Amino acid sequence: MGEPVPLGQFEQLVLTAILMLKGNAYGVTIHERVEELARPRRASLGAVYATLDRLEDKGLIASWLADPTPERGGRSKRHYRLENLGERALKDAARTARRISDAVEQSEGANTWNGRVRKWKPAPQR
Amino acid sequence: MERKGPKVEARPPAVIDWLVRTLIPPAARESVVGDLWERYRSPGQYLFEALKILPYVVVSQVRRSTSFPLAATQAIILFGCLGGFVAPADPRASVIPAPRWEAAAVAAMAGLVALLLRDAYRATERWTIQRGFFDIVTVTGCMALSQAVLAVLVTAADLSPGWLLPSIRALLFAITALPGLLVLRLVLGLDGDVRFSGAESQSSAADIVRDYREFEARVRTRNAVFIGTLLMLVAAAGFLWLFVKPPLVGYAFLVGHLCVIAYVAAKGAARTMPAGIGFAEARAQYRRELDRQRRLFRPLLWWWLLPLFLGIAIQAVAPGIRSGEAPRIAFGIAAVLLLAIAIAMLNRDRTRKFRAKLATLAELAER
Repeated sequence: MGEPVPLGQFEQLVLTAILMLKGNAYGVTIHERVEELARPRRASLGAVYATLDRLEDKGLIASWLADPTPERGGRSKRHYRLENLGERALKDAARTARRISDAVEQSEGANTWNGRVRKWKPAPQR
Repeated sequence: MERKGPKVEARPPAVIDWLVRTLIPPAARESVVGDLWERYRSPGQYLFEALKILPYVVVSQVRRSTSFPLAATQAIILFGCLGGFVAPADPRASVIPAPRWEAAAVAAMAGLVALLLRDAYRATERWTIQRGFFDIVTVTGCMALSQAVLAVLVTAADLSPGWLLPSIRALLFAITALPGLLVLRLVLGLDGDVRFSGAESQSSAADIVRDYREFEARVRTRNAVFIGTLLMLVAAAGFLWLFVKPPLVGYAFLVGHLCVIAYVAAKGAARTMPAGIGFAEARAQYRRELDRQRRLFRPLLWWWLLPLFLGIAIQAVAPGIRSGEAPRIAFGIAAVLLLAIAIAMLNRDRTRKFRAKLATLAELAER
C-alpha cells in the first residue's frame, strides 16, 4: 500500500458527498450534499467544480458523461465515482479525524461537546 | 431536499444562455451549463450564478490545460523580446530603446494571460495553422489593450509615461516574438499530436498506413511552418539591420536560424511508406520514423533558442557584472536556468508522447 494522499478539509467533504451519493453523484447533488455536511458554513458551486477537477487529476475520483436529459436543456450530467485511491484517502482522513475527536474529548473532558454536536444524518432523498 | 423557491420559467432566455455558454470553457461547458439549467429559477438568478462560478471554472481549466515548461518558455520569449532584460543605463546592452522592466513585465503578462486563456478555451486537442495564427492575434490584441489602458492612465491618472512601450521596441517585438511564439506553439502542438487513430489493440496494415499518412502530413506542416516562419524572421531581422547596426546577439540570431532552417530542410521530412506494404513492415517503418523524428527535433529547441540565451547573457548578466549589480546578475542567471529547465522539460514531455506511441505500435496485433 502506498503513502496516504493528504486531503484538504473541502476535498474530504466532496469525497464524502460522492461516497454517500453512490450512483447519483454529479455537480448539483454533490454541491447540495457538501452544503449539508459543511453546515452552517456555505459552499459555492464553483469551489465544488474546482475541487472535483483537482481530485480527478490526483486520480482519487473518475468521471463520465451520462445521457442528456430534457430538463437540462439536452445536456449531459458529468457523474463522479470514487476510485480505490480516493476511498483509501478518505478512510485515512476519517481515521485521523476520529483520533483528533478522541484526543479533544480526552483533553477537555466528557462534556466537550455540551450537546452542541449530535450524530449527523443525511437529509431525506427528494 | 426541497428545491429552493418555485420555478417561474422552464428555461433561461436565449441571449443569456448564449452568453453563459460562450463564457464557460468548452471542456466544462456541457456539464456546468446543464447543472445551471437544472437549478434555473429566473434569468437574473441564472446569470448571477453563472458569473459566480465562472472564475472557479476558468482558473481550474487554465490549471488543467497549462504546461509549465511551455508557459515558462513563452513568458521568457515575451519578456526578452520586449526588452525586459536590457539594462537601460548600459548603452552597450541594446541599440534599440528599452522600456523599464516593469513596463515589459506588464505587457508580457498580458500576452501570457492571452495564451493561457487560449489553451483553456480550446475546443479540440488538434493543432492547425489557423489555431496558431488566432493565438498570435489574441496575444497582439491583449497586449495592445494593456497598452491602451496604460495610455489612459498616463493621461488621466498622472501615471509615468515610462510604463508605455517605445514604438520601435513594440515593432521589434512584433517581428521577433510573435513568429517565435507561433513556431513554438504550432511546432510543439503538431509534433506532439501522435495519437493513434486506429483500433486500440488490433489493426490492419491499411490502418497503420492511414495513420502514418496523417503523421507524414503533420510533419510536412510542422516543417513548412518552422522553415517559413524562421525565413520570415531572418528576412525581417536582416531588413532591420540595414538601418540599425546589429549587436553580437543579432549575428548569432541570423546564423543560428539559418543553420536550423538548413537542418530541417535537409532532414526533416518523414520518409514515404511504399504502397502494398505488409503489416509487420509498415509497423517497423512507422516505429523507425517516429524514433528518427523524436531524435531529430530534440536539439532543435536548444539551437533555435540559443540567441535568447545569448541575449539574456549580454543584456542582463554582462551589464550587471560591469556595474556590480548583484540583483541584475542573479536575475539574468535565474532566467537562463529557468529557460534551460523549461526546454529540457519540453523535450522530456515530447519524448514521453513518442515513446507511448512506439509502445502502442509495438503492442498492436494484426487484425
